[in-house]
Amino acid sequence: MLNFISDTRYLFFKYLKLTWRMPMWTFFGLIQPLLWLVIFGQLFKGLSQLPQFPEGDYVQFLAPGVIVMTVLFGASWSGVSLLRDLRHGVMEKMLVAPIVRSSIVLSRLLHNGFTVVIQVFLLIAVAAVIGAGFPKGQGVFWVWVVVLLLAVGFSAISNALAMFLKQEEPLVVMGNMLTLPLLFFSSALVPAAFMPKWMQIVSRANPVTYGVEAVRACYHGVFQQPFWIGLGFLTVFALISVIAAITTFQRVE
Amino acid sequence: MIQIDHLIKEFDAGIRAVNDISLHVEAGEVFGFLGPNGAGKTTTIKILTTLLRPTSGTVTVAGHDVLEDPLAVRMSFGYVGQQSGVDPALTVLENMLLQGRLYHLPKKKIEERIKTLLQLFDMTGREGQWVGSLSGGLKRRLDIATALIHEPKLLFLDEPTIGLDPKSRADLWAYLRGLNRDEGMTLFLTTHYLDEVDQLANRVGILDGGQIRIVGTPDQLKDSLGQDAIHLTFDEPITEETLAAFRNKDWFKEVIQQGEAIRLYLENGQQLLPKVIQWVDSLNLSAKSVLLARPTFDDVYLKYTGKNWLLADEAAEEDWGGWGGSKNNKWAKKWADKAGSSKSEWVEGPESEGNQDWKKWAGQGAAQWSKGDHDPKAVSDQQEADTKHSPDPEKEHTEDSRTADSSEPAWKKWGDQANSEWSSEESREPVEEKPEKKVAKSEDAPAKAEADSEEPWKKWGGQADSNWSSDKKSGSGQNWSEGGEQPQSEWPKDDLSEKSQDASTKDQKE
Repeated sequence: MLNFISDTRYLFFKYLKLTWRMPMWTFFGLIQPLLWLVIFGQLFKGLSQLPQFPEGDYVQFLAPGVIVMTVLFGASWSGVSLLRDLRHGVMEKMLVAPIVRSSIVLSRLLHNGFTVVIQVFLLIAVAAVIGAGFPKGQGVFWVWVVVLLLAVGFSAISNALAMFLKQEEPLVVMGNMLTLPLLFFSSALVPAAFMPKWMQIVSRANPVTYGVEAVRACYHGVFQQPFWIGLGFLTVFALISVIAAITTFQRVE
Repeated sequence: MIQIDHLIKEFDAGIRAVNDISLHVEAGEVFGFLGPNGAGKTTTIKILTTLLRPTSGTVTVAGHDVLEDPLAVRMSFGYVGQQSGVDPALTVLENMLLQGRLYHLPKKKIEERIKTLLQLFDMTGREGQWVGSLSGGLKRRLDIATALIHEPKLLFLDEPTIGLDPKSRADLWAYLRGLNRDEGMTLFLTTHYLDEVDQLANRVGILDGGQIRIVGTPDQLKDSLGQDAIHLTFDEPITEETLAAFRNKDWFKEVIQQGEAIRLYLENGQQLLPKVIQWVDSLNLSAKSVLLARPTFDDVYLKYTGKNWLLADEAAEEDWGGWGGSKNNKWAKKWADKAGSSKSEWVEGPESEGNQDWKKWAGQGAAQWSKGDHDPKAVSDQQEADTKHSPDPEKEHTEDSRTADSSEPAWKKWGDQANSEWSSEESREPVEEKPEKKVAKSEDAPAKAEADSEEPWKKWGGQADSNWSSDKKSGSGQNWSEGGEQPQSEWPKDDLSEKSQDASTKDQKE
């Protein structure tokens, strides 16, 4: 157990160091969400005029959606760096070392979570400038928990896929194939009430929906039953994904 | 040290990559596993290093069973894989520190080992250097050094010199020999280079189709064929009857046919040669060429795998998407051109594709390499001396750091990548001229600007390099992180290793 913690720690620091040396990538990852925030914010401005629209301003509605989107897109790339390790033989070198192998996966997921948290921090600041406001009350804390759970969960899926596919191109294709539907089958861009019935049903099984709604609750500062249910759902989702990633990793020789 | 009993490894499709291998390797031995791609070398080494699980059979490494006590096995060996294994985005020191941490060594011990190992591999002073900027040869050395951080008594090397230029290969061999001689380390290596086992191994196993064809010392294997070999080439394909006639003749210990050529192995070849020629004439055959030679590893290899080494290597090249061998040759060529020496025989050998030529090449190459073997430092010393000659260190900084840095500077790898996109003819020419130009420039600095404007690609290479070298000078290895050069410089390399990854997975599956 002690080894497990120290292995995870050293590998986590290593990945952190790599990110630290390429801070540009962390920033580049932010360009797209900012574009969405600005472009979609303008494009769908009129939505907020509709009678059923829940918020006064579309940007206020959109900001939580874009935060979750950043998490989703950022995490869906995390498998690519696993393949990088695999290609450089770095992975092999780790596997022949007497370390607890699940620490390799765990350190990667923690690192991804950490990177995404930093991105979201910057994003919240920019969104506030555009007029989305800040999370209120307890929301200042819970928003990180939600983001971390989502990031770990989705990077775990991406890592598992990477181990399974073993090649970058299919991984990227799969990533794109999964992220966009996940995004559109959620209330990230439009309120659930605007969706056709069947899409609403599908969106109930989508972790992105729960993520978006939880972040929105943080912005409103309203923490009622739906928020806790959502948080519970996300916790279970993250746990299952992590376990799946670790088992995939240990099964693949 | 290693005990393998009836090892079988089956992959999903029911294909046996390793088909009933039994082998014993003593402590202190240098054992070489030789075989074409797909023979099962990598699979075997992956089972020994606990990266793969055997389908059946027992494997014991350093007294521990690989299935029952994989952790103890992993502590007992160092492993140098086909891909580099050191993280290109970390510095030399960081890579070694991390490796020590992953083996759960105390900090003090790690620092001590790093110092010793860097000294052993002549890499002292490179601690802060970013690994991505190291040459292929240096990277391999670092690879081996990190693999030894926990003082293992056994070192596995999976095709350790693949993709290295001849000079770096020879250097690496010298280090490996030193490890075996001075530290008593057991080395287990796989390779498909014949000269590599000839140079390094005490004992060789030839592996083909997942089975061991023969095990013995290089000399035993060569002697098993007889003292001499006669190579005959004919104008037309050899018929069954002719072949039978050769086989029935009691002069020959072994007869191997390859298309229009035939190889005869015998004792006392010098005296028998005239008789053999007469006898061939009496069969109404006319030989196009006759060659008397000593049996080499190629002959041994041919006998036990039925494959000619050169041809097998070409097939391997196809396996590799065609980059492996040709890349080597190109590097070899450039290196030789740069050195400005008359080593053209062994540089042209592989490209001329003559079955006979390569032998000459191998022989000469070996002779020349072995000269360099004893002192891998010699070249870098020479290069350091060059640096001192420079009249204007400021201006010559970029030029010299290229050469001073290593036997095969990083910019070159870059250059190769970039050049190969253009016509190879084009790129070769300027490189050939390089040594003269460099000398001219150190005496007459303005000439440099002129030369650079002539060859834009060169300027570009130089620029990229100057970024790197400033980095090296500062010794921090941090500069690149600000400029964003890092991803750029990593791409070409990725290309290579991606292919090698493909190849290795292929190797594994086969």
